[in-house]
Amino acid sequence: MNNIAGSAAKSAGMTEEEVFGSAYDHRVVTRLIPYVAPYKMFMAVALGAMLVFAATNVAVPWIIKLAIDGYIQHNDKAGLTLIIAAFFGNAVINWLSNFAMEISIAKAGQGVLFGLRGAMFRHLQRLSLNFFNKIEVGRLMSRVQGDVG
Amino acid sequence: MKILLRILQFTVRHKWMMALSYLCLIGTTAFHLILPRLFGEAIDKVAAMLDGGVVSNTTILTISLLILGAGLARGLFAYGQTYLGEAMGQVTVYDIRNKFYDHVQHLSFAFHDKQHTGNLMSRAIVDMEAIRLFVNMALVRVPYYILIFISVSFVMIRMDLRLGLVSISFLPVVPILSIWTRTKQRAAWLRAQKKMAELNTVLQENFSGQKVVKAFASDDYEEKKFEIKSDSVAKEMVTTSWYQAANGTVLVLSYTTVVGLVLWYGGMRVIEGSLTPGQLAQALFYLQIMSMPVRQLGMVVSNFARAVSAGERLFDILDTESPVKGKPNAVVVPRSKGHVRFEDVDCSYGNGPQVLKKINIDAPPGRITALLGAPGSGKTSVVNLLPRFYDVNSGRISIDGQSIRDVTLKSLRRNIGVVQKDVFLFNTSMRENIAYGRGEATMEEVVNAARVAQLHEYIETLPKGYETVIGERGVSLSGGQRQRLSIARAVLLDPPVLILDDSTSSVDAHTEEQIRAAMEAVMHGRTTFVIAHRLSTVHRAHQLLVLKAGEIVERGTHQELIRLGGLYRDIYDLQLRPQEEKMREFDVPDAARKGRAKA
Repeated sequence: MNNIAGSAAKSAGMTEEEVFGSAYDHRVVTRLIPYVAPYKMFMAVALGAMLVFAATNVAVPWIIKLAIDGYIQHNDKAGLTLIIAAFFGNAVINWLSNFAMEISIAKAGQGVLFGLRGAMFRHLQRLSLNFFNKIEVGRLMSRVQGDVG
Repeated sequence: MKILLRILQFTVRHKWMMALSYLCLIGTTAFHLILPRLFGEAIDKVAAMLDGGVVSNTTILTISLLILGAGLARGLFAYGQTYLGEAMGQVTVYDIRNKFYDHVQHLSFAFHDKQHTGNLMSRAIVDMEAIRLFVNMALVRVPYYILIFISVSFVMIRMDLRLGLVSISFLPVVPILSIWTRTKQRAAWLRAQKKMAELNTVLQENFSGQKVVKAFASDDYEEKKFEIKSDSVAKEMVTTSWYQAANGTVLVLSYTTVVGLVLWYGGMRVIEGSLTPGQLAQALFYLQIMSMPVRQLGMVVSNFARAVSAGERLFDILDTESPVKGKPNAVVVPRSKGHVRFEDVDCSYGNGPQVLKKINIDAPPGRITALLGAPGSGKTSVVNLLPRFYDVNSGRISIDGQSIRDVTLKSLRRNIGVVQKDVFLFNTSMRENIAYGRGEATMEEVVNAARVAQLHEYIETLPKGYETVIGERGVSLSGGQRQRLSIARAVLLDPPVLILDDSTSSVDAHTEEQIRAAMEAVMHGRTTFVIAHRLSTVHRAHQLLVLKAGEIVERGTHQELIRLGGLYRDIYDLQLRPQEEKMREFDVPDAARKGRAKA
């Protein structure tokens, strides 16, 4: 929640939790970049794996088309067997890329959450007692645990 | 399985919602199944046209419109299914959360002594979220997937037995892999949820104890502590993701393999002429319907495993029975006269050592009993037994001759007021804080209570008077003000029996006088048990009980115990006499030193 929205919310008699942000906020996404940066290797692997995964998914109907138009329609049994072998090869690559993508996203995602939680906690330690007097513990916990994830 | 069924018991109460959601589920599945058949027919018609056959434009248009209509109907039913699935998750969690909250309110002090607040909060929020996701999965998505698997298998086998069997050959992999993953994931989720609860505890303690953290400049220590817990949460979450990824991706691989097999076998059959291209396309479309459920299965299994471990943690609390319970035939006690008796009372906390031994006290109505002794001697334990915050091991406590175990907890506690040393103030207005426990009190009653507690003048100086919101834990009030607010609460409740701790943090002479006057006012006419630290209280008390290691070692009036020259004499010399000398120094009148009016 940025300060402007926060003050607007207060002046409108709402709590900050009641204000809805836009679905995409460029400033928020930009501020997340430093937390993603330490996990660029995982992100790179995830991105690479994602491209392979998407390509192998798209390849499935294409291989099916090749099988039907190229071999089934021409009654070519040997050719059909060959293209099916290619289909299985594609399936294995699809599986490996899927697994690599899932694991690297999980590692990068949890790493980013770890960074965000830590930064938020460190920041809170530096705030004055006056801040803690004004905001309830439950509300703060909801921000650190609930909103960060 | 038992845990999952217990969770679902909360959902089946919403019968209409469930019925409607299953109606949507059947609708979605039916229209989903019609589509491949229509596609297959369309392909065969077009193929016939290409082969020189005659197919009317109306037939093609009809099939196209049917495909469009079926797609639209499927979309509408799917919307209802998704919405109702979410709603069922929300209403189930609403019920469980309320039950959890109510249950925690009724658990004894002994339970709360052992449980970290952060841990309880984690169960009420994080674990509850796992249940919400599960309900939607278990009651809507999984039956939908099962229905899809069964109906697609049936339709395909009916269409062509051998091709159908090839199409469903991957299905046995699903339960085998799912059971293996569920076992592994359940343990992983349990570890992750425990770590999250620990992290919550660190957070809650840190935020609640900021004064201490800052006073001791412990930021670095706290940050390190938080980082260790946060890191362990991240690691456990990655482990759960690993199992989910392993399960999910292998399921997708086995499904894709079957698509390849169907294409190969079906293709061979088309070449041989025992299958039409339309039928092969139909089989592939049917397989396509199973694609989404297969892709979701990894997540479903993970959700089930998470729900089992979350349910285990929630039911662990819901199944905890309070050792302090009202008897089934307990009676509601009206306002008592306040004659309290302890007879041969022994007490220990759980399996710990005995904290009270053979306690005998007779406190007639309106009389003040002062408890004195070193820290840990058992003073607080004695007063905690009266409202049944804990129960005695043996012996009997009675009010007006009736055992406190024979009356309902609520009516017993309505007869006893507690003025706490560290009073908890809610983040609400001054008026609501004073009226806590008597929400129906009129403004006039609240003001009167505040006057008796010597707090009215201060409240009048606040910007919004009685409507001023005081911060969490009453941090905007000083120790003396908090104590007087606690007294005002007791005055408003007007109990015949009162428990109070008269200690105060160091305050100025004016505040000291205000607190003393408030205490005297609240004690007046009530049977009072006071953990005494003040000379004026000791002078006013009708009997002094001196405790040592859980036993009453001396009893009598101030004068009698002074003459005895025992432990009380030592306490007096060390703790009380310096107060007397200080009061003389400040010329506090004798009447105030010894209590205003001897009852």
